Amino acid sequence: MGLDSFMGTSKQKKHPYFFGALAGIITIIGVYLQIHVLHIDLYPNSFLPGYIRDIFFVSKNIPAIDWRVIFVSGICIGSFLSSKYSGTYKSQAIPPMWANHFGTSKWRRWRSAFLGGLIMMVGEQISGVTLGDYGFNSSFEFSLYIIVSAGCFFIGGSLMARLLYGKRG
Amino acid sequence: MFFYWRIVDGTSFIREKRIDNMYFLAMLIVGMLIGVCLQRSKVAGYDTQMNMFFFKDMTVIKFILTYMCVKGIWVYFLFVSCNLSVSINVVVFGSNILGSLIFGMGWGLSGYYPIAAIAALGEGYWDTLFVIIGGIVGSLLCVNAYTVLYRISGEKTLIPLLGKIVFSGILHINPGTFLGTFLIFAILLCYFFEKQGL
Repeated sequence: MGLDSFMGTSKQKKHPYFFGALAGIITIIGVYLQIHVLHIDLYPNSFLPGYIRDIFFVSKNIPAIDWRVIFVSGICIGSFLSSKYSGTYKSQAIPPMWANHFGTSKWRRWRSAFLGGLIMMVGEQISGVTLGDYGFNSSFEFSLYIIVSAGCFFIGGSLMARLLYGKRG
Repeated sequence: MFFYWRIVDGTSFIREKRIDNMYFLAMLIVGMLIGVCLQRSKVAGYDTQMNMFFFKDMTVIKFILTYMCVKGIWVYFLFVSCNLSVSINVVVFGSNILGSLIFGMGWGLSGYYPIAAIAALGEGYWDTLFVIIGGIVGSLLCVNAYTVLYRISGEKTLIPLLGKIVFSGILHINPGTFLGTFLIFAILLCYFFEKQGL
């Protein structure tokens, strides 16, 4: 029991339900921290009067070091520490699945990664679905556009994956 | 060492607010815990995400559904207990569908969802650096192209077709019923995945 059982050392075991629920609870705690520590109004017209409005709209337009930068850095650090502790950390320039199919040319992989990232963000800007919608914005469970978008993400991704790897993968 | 938070409201009024370091520390810890969750459930890996598109490994879907259910219950609790009105983004089907398809194709090409790319970088997948750089370049391109898109469409989004729509608003059901339906759907889907060994 203890930290070892929580972190685990098995390379095969996946616990998507447990860690998905945990991530949800951690997000809730994070949002409460924002409300109570910084008094940010995450919800316009909410029960918290007089707080700063539309902070999300505002903060995404201005490049500045805000909590998002810290939060994202935290994700990277947390993932690094977790993989180091569990012994699954492995520095690799090319994922194994890609290497098996396309060979070990680094530039080829990096070029497609760059292009993929670029296309992703262009799509994101056109669709208007911000990353915050899947994270700290809590209205997406009730919104149609997120469900429509999620379906289209999957269709687009499946299409591209089949173009890359063929029908069977 | 202090950070500054720049806040601009609708009238371009700018003020800077000094944020307590404790707040940043708290957000760092929250981010780290999310990073641990992403790493331990192995949703950040390239293979996991690509196998999802071939219906071989549904770990990512399971993770997201559980996450959505937990948060959905919490938001519903706020709906009921605090008389909360949640700001819903506008549904514009044309740009939503087109943009999401493009996003999905980018996801398929790069192999990482943006947040997963950050977590995968911590796991040692160095190719995610190029996904992140590509994302920044793509965002900059879009910001500059935004005025052109605005001129073409005359709207803030590319192809405006429908107005602001909430799912439960279309079906004339309350959010509780919608959430209940969503929970049942999520459980059935996960059960199906488990049965199929995905």
